[in-house]
Amino acid sequence: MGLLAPLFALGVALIGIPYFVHRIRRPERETVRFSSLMFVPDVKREVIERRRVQHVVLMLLRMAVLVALALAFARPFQEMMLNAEAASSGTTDHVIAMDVSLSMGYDGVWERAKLGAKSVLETVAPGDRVGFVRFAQQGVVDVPLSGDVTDVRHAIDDADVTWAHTDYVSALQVVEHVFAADTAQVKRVVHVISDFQASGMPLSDMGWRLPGAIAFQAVDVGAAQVSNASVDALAVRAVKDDALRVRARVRNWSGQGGLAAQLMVDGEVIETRDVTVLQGNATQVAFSVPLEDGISGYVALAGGDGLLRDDRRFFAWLAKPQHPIAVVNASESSQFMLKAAVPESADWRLVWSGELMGSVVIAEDVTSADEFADYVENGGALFLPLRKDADIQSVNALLARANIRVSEVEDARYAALAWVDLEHPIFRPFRGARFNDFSSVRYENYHVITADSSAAVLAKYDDLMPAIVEGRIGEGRIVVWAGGMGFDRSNLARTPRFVPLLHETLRYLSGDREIETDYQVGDAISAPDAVERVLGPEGSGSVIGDGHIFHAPGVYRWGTQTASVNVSDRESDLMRITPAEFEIRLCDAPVLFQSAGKLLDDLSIVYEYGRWILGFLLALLLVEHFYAAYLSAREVRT
Amino acid sequence: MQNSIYTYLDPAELARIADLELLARTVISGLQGGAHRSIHHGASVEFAQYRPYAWGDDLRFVDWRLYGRSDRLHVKQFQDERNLRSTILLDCSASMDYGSGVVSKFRYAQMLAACLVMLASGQGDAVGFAAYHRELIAHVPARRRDGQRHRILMEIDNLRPAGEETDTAGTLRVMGDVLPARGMVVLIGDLLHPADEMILHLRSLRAQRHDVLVLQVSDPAEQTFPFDRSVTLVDAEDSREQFAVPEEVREAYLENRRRHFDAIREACLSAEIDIEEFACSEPLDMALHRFLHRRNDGLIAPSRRSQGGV
Repeated sequence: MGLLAPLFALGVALIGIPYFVHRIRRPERETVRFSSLMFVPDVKREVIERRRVQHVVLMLLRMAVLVALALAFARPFQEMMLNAEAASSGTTDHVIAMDVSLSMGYDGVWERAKLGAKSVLETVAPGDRVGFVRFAQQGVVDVPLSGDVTDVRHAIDDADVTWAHTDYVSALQVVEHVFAADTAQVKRVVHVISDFQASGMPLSDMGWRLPGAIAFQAVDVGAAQVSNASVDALAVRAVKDDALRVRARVRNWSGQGGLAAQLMVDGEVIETRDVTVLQGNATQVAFSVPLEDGISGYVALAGGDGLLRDDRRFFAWLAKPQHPIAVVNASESSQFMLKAAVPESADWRLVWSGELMGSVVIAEDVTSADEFADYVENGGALFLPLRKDADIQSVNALLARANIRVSEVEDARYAALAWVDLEHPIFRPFRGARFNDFSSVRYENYHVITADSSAAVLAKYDDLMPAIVEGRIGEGRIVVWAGGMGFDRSNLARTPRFVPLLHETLRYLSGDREIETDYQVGDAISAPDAVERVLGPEGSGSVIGDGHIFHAPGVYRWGTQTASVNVSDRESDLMRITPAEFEIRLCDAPVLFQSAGKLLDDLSIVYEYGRWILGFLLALLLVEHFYAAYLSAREVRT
Repeated sequence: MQNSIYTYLDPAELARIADLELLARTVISGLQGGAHRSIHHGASVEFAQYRPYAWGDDLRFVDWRLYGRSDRLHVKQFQDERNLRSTILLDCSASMDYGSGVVSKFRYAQMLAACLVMLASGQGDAVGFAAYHRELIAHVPARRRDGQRHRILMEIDNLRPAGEETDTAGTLRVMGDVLPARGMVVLIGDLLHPADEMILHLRSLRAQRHDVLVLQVSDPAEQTFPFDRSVTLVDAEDSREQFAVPEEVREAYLENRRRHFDAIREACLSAEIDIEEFACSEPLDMALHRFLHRRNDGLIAPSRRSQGGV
């Protein structure tokens, strides 16, 4: 048993303070005028002495608090010897954890890191074992614990800086697993070779720490003075029909304020702009480029700073496909409404040819069930707002394949929409409390629909009959509006809900989805199932790897998809922490033999009791608080 | 002594009555049956006993009829109902100023003295009064005249406890010199002083054929020492301070006190001196009623009663 900070143990002498306080500052004793003292015997001296100290238990509690406080600062520890075999062998396991994050690419840092890793190898004694872990966003075990340092030396030579950001917790957790995989009780040391970038630390205490049995050795290779600027954000937007606006945010983390930003498209400099950004600030730079489908490029900072890897930010712009929507069998009033409600735009275009083609077909009646069925079975989408005089036989012939049956219209079936499925994509925009009331939509008559469980009822009338039903035939789908959309049957078209509901129905049927075009290094492709081969920035599919994870920035293409991948802006902030602070925040117990200068000679692990004492101190304070409150309340009562 | 048909007067309520005469009238209104009887034999209508004639006896009291039957001279003895000279001595020392409740010992003693004055004057006795602490501070000789009662009550009312010590023995000695023999002397005080010399002078008064009554006034706190926390006690008379831990000293205090008053009581009873303790918390009328009842029934000073004195 020993003390890490023995000077603080002198604080134990403070226990005299409560004694004097309780003796000197005892509560004012009550003075009582009494008729005569002739019968009152003298109190024995020892009783008086005992009585001079008020509230002995409280005083002892306070003494204990002071002792615990002094001990908590003195940090007692117990050095527990490992087993005899380990003691006799005297071996040590080393793990070299090497930071390969983007920030290690700063001018000269990587070279120092490699030298530092090799210098650690020089200190390995014969019989010791060494492992090698490189880490950035995640740790990777390149060489497990082994007595042969040659593999580690090769791994150090082969290691290279990556584009990922730093996560020290993940790295140390991997190191812990490396040690945990071997049950031999030997001394364990992890050598962390890093620039100790502050952004790699967890934002809050995660509760995890490197166990105290693993000694921490820091090899700080970071640059003392850094100069860095980066393009840390970028947005593209089509303006008008012929131009793409590219806006980039340039941040000067540290260094000179005069910078030049370039827009590069297809390897050519489109535009260069000079920007002045004060240290610690950021500004926006906007470029324009002629609009083309599938345009991609990047904005880069010209001129050098210490860290070049964050000077470029890529973009990819992909025009959304326009969906042709074929209208067949629509009444004049419905045609009028459709023209007004669905004007031609970048998203869709109405086609009035009467043929079953395009992404979606809008039909108020079914003229040929087989044709319609073929269209839907082959992946087409049919929107069927039934008109009053629709051919029920044909309609049923078609809908029977989706297990839906429609009856004749019964006049004077007045109803209102009473329930809608707000979870369905058609109604999702109406989920807000201000928009989800459909009770004002009324119908004079409608087709009665019956459907089994394979069809989805998306809305119901107030008599609980289905109002909107979705069914599937083959690869396609059908959405049926039982009340149609004409003025003659309902007031739906006159309500503000008509146009959004129609748009959402068409958008849903056309399969229009937001396409993710902006990724970060370390992200995986959002829908990897359909991806067979990805062309990376180097033109090779090998960059993306099996896990469909982006490991380097650039523009990637797969299928009809184009996406840009950029580095995390966290790595651009080169502010550092000291290894001591790193140890305090992420390592469980300080290592005795390190502070005692007896590195590699001890075969013991250190168990520090500081936390236990702090817990005990907290408990004592609580007890003292409540006991003092109790005494105070008792004195007030009496 | 609790009596369901008798509502006693709470001392705290009595203390609110500023007029001492009214207070005393209120208290003794229910005690009229408690008039004292003299221990002296004399001429009156109430026959007491026969006694053989002795030289010098008044021939008016010779029972000539008995002489005719027995041929021997006997004189009749009657209960002496002559008016007494009663003198009330009131202790005004600072120790009497103590009171753990609403009523201090001194106020209680004032009320008690006033009641006795009212009782005595109501019977037509000559009533006198004296107050003392270290020395005699007031003295009204016993008289039976108009205004005597009022004068004494005024005197009692104007008294305030003071003095650094109590000299009861000295006062008794002075009173022994001053008072004519064969009177009644009532000493009202807390008796918190050495008793030997006081006993001596009480005996001296008895030797002068005085009927002596000692009414000891105590506070409940003195009887029980009820403190529950360490206190610094300050003597009311000499302001001496003494630290006391109640749980440590209570037992010894009570024992000392018991021994002191037992000694006084034994000495008084052996000298045929009536002694009674009055607690300030006790209803005054009830305490007086009890005292007079016991006195008239011969329950006090048994040695004298057993001698046949009436």
